[in-house]
Amino acid sequence: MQTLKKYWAFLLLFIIPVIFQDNYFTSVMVTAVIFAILALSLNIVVGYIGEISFGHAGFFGLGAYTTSLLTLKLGTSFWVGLLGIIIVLGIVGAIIALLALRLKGPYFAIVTLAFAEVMRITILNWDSLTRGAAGLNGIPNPKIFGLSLNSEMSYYALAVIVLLVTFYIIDRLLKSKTGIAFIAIREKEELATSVGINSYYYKVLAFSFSAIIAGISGGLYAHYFQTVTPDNLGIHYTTLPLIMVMVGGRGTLWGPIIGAFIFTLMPEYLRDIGDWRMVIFAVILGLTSIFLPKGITSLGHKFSLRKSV
Amino acid sequence: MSSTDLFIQQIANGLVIGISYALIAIGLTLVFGILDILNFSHGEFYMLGGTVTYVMVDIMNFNYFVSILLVVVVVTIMGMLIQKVAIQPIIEHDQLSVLLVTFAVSLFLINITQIVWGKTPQKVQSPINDTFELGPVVFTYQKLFIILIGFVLLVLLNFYIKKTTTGKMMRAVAQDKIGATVIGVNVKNIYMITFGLAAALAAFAGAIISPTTFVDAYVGQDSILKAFAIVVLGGLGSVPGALLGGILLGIVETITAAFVDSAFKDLTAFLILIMVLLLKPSGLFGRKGV
Repeated sequence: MQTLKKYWAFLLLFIIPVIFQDNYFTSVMVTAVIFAILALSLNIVVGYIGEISFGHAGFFGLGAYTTSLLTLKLGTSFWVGLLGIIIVLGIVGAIIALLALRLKGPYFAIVTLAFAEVMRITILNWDSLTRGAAGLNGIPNPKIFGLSLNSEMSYYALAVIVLLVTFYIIDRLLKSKTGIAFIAIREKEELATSVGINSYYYKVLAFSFSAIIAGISGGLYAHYFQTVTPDNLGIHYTTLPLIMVMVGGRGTLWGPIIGAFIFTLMPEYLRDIGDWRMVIFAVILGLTSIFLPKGITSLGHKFSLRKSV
Repeated sequence: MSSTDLFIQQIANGLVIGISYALIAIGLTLVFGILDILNFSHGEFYMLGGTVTYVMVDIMNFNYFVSILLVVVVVTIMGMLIQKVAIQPIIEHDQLSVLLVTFAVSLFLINITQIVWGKTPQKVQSPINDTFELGPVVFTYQKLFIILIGFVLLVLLNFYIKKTTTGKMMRAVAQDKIGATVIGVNVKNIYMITFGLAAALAAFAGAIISPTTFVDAYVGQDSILKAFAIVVLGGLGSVPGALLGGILLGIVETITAAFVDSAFKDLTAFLILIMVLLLKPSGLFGRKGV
């Protein structure tokens, strides 16, 4: 029962839009869930192997383009698109990981940025395939078991299920030997290596896995908004999930998800104040990072007597 | 025009862009070398250099050269304030937290500028935008001014870092923070001065380049990505590396655009970076291994 306990919140996630019955709210929630998946993916790199990736927008956008091209050009189903994402992102993620993980810290961060920019600029200029800056439109809503997910509610259900599966896999992974190796590497890489953990291997594994998850969130984005442009590989889609992971609490399972909800819902509902909303967003981000450098989930530890790891 | 002439022309144009890249990258690498942080908001000082110059020259009708000076002074003070208020309080935390604050500063500056500025990109009206011919090269006096003043500034900067007491203190802090504290260097002050100096260089780049290229609230975002590539290429913390990397990239980019395909122009920085890092992980001028 203990292990099931942390899943009760997903029940809440399913119920909330049913209570509100508001299409606009539900569509904001879909976006939040898609970002939560992206943030969970980035958290594997930032929170569990302790490197900063500036390149996740590249994986997010590549995932979106992979499934869009498959469904638009070859007319394949959502499932084939998903499989395509797993294959393409697995390969691209592994190649980038093999090359970039020879570096560390800021060098690693900036080389991942370079890879993402190479992907973005290539997609931007490959007009015949990607239609350049105009992007791809008319990506179909997925059909699952003959059921077309064209309502906000049904797509929301799909997104939450993908989030749940991602959450479950990461949770299991972290409890496995592999997950323990990740954390050992994050805490003290030399020590981990000295007890026989092949840190390069585990880092490549974690990074490739993270790339696949980021690609899947991009795929969900493409099928929901039915449009994808090279901007989806732009730096904005890297900084936003980084903010979500950091402010939510990196290296925790719920932190990135909480961060994703805060930083998707907040700017949406600040729309009333017009141009000032991004300024307020920046101020809130600045204040939380100065006063809560370990993220929102660290509040729980601050106020609880029972200190856990 | 023969292709040799075109080549010389492109080198001259590339040099102009390269100077602005170098000025931006040097500030970024100084902040990394001395404060040990990746400053994501650095491009915004360049953006402010361009946009504030436009406001002064084209809206308030100030003299262009006076405006450059005023803009640099204003942005330097802003930079120092930002360091003191937003970055100093958490500089002892890990790099990621500081990075996040610099995201916040960047978003803040871009959006405030956007509110004041609007969306239209603009070019500053420089009083020296006439063209002249120098052998095969057609040039504007503005571009010549950029190259000359750029080099003067770089020489002065070199003198400042190598010879003045503050410069020596900066280098001491870059080498060993605790050691510098022990011999009486006020590390906090050096942090603030370095940040101000970096902001000044970027603002200067923005102010001198803005008559040759359009500026709006988002130009800093584009420049920061390339500046990151340049500083890693030159070796993080290396001033000569950032200088050479910036100028080289400016030239390679313009030549690629002219002779290969303009679509490849923006790729060059990142492709070169990837190749160099795979061969020599510490960058061209990096001292310590990674």
